[in-house]
Amino acid sequence: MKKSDNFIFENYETDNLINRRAAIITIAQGGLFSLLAGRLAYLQIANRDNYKILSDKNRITHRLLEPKRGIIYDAQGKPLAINMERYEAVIIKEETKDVFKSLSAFQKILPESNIDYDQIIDEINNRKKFVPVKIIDDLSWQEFSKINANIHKIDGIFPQIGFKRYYTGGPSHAHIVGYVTNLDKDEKYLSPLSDLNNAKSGKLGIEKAKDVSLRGHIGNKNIEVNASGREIRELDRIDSLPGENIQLTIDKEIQEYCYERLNGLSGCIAVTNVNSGEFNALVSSPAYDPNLFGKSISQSTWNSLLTNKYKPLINKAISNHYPPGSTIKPFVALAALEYGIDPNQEVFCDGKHLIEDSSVESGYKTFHCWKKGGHGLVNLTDAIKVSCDVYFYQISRRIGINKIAEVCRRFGLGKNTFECLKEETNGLVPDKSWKLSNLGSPWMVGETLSAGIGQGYFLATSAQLSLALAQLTNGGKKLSPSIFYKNLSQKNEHLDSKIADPKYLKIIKRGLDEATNDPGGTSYYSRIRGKHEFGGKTGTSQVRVISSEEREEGLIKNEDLPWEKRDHGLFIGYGPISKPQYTVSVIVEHGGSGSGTAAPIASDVFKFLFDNKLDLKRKNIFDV
Amino acid sequence: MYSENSIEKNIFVKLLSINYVLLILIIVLFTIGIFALFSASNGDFSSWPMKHFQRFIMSIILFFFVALIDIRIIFKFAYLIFFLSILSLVIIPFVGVESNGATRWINILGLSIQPSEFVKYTLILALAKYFHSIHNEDHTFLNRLIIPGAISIIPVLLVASQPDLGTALIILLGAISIFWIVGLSYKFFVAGGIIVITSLPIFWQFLKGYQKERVFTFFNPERDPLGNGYHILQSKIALGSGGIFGKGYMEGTQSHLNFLPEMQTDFIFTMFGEEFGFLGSLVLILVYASIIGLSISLALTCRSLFSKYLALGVCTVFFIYIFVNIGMVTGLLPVVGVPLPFISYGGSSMLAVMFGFGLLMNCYIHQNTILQKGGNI
Repeated sequence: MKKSDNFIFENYETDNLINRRAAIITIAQGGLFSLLAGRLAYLQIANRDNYKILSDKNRITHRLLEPKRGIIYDAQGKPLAINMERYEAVIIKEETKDVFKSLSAFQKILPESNIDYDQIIDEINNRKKFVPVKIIDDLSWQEFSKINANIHKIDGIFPQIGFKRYYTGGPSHAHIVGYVTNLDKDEKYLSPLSDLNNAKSGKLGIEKAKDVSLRGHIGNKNIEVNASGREIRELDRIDSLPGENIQLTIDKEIQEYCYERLNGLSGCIAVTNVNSGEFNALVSSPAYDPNLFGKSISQSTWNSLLTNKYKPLINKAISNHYPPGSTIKPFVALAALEYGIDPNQEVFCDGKHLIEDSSVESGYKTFHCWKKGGHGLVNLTDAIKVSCDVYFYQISRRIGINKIAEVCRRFGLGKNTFECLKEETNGLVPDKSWKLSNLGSPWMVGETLSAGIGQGYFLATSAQLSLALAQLTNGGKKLSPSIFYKNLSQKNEHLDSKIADPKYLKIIKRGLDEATNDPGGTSYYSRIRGKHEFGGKTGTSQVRVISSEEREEGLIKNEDLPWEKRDHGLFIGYGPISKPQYTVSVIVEHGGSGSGTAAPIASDVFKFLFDNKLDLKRKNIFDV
Repeated sequence: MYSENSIEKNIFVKLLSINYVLLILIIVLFTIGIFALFSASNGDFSSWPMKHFQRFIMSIILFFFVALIDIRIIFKFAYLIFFLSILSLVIIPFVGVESNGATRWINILGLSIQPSEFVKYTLILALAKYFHSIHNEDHTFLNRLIIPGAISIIPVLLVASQPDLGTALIILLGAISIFWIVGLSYKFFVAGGIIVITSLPIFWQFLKGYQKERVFTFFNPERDPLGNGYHILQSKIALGSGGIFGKGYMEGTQSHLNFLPEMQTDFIFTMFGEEFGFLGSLVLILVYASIIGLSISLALTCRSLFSKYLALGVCTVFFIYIFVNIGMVTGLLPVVGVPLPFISYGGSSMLAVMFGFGLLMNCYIHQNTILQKGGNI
């Protein structure tokens, strides 16, 4: 062979060469495999403890951060709904091997606690594995520290500080502020908060109306946890954004006074500022303690609230509507003036008014005045003062239902006062087309007469009546009703937008003044003595049909009737007369008469309003 | 002569002469792969394990097909097969499918095929034929080093430009192994080794930080968007925390809590090691070592140089796969995308590896067939 052979290739017989080279490859591969095995032994045997620690440490997980719910303030900047710390214990599925074992170990720490295993396990299975599920809520500080001292013995269970809602106003603000409770089943799929173990949503009032802005935005953080799931280090976080704070035009002092003044009677009060349209009070009674809903409310408490005949869960000021009775008369009077009726023209009231009705044997139907003997000769202001039904029967008949309805609607009856409150009812202002399309029958003359004294189909809420009177007594200025405090810049007053002629309104206001402050007026006994400080109209609305037999035999007195058959007592008033500032509307359910029950309450409310000069205490929380 | 008889082996005799121990060892590995993928998919058989099974069936068919063809046909068409595989690499930029910033796949009859996986074996095929053919000729630089070197460097450069440096490196190592087997002098390997080892750090010194980063990215373009050491650290933690006995089947916390990237492909050994511990890993390595040892012994029974070169080359490529993969996941080697044969999820590599074993088995079945230089019998 040539020399170059030696240089490039080894000089062996070919088979030997290949065998030798293959043997070297085999040995080399064996060596390299041993290297791998050695490396594995180094990692998996020599360093296994280090890596086990790293492996446990290394577990990164995810926690959601609860946003703080927005605070609700009153008109003076006092908080009505705030967030308080709440102590609870939660379990996180991914941090424990055996949920049941952890729960029973937890039970041993707090033996008297009531743990619903099935519900917790059900909840765990329905949620992502890193989501803490509440075991027990609203612990006392003692219980909470007891858990903290023992918790390291149990896998997967953690003490946690969350927030709970606290309502400073208690029952007096229960309906308007509302309350929050755990999400309903169908809400769970909608709410972006539903992964929180403590997710709540507003169920009534402002809490419900402004739920989305109050709730804020959920945050989250990535954390490194150790073998037992305790947080070691936070890696990154997106903070939760607190919900928006909201200031109401409700004044806590007025609201509380009104609630106390109702003193458990079933009824409601609305107080409106006649210049701004802001509502300073919307009270419903009886009420409940909204702080009960912070915890899980017990079934028996809930049932008793549901079945209570005074319906404490309903906001009567906006969700219940009533026949307005004689409180409608100022508006009917305005309709008459606009129609062209001379306010000085007198009508003779002999206690009843007849209309032809071929359906009855006698050929006519009798409409009675509330005063059996009649009022004699009355003009428009007299009729308001003494609340003469016959006068209003006659003018109603002349001007017709559609004119009455038009005026009432113009003043805000028959539609929601506040657009945002979901539980609001819109009342009812009947007219011919309404009856035809809803009841399918033509309007009857007798129905106009009933409507003229606020009976029949007529329905209104306390808030609507208060707003309507405010627009009537402020000189006819159109108001945009509000429960949300506005900045001065946001105030959009319709200074030029008049909805009625002030010269007519003046006549009606004189009637309202006389009704309270002149002897013989329906609310004379409730006047604030010595001064002409408020005027107003009483109303007594029937909830039952009085048969002619009963009328013959003498009316059954309200006190002798069962509660739910008694008349509603209403009063709407404004004051001070010289320069109107507030209207107050009071409804006492089945209270008997407006002059006997509602007017004295309204009188006290006016006295409170005038004495305390609360409008000077208004403070905008956003103007800092 | 007794070799005359064996040429005439019919297909049943050929089937009987297949080494079934090797096939059973391969099926054992494949079964481990199915179980590992079942764990990796968190107990979902219908996803990875199912497809893995289908691919294995296809690979087995390919294996038998390749093993049973007359070796003379393979010998005759060795260059053509190599040329076609090179051609498929060349046309990839024009017809290939891009994925993760690299173009490596072409669609053939609905199958996504990665030609670079097959080039590992076709290059060995071509080199085996080349060295067989020049056996009795004069030994010159040109025919012993320059020409085969040129043949080898073409696929390496083509694959590297995809870019897929990991596969290019394996092709290069496979070619070098053939040079070793055919008897290239030690001096070349020693000299080459010294040059590479000494020049690397010097070359590295001249690179700037961002260039080094680019080299890393070049090595590993589709993975590791977060941090350079992250995958390897996680892999080491997973393996180490598995300890001696492992955390148990489907209980690997690192793997199942998604700390482990590419769990079903390149990092499947890590998951296996975490769940079955050191003992499990050792058993797996022993199975691989047995396959390689057995394959080498089968290769050495062949009479023709072509068969020996080819069969030993296949063994070496298979070894390189395993060593690079396990070396990578244990942190001995840099992260390059190399799958673990029979266990990692991936169609092309499974088909290619079985194609390789088909060639090896073909050589074994036809061990006594005498091949002439030019491919004539």
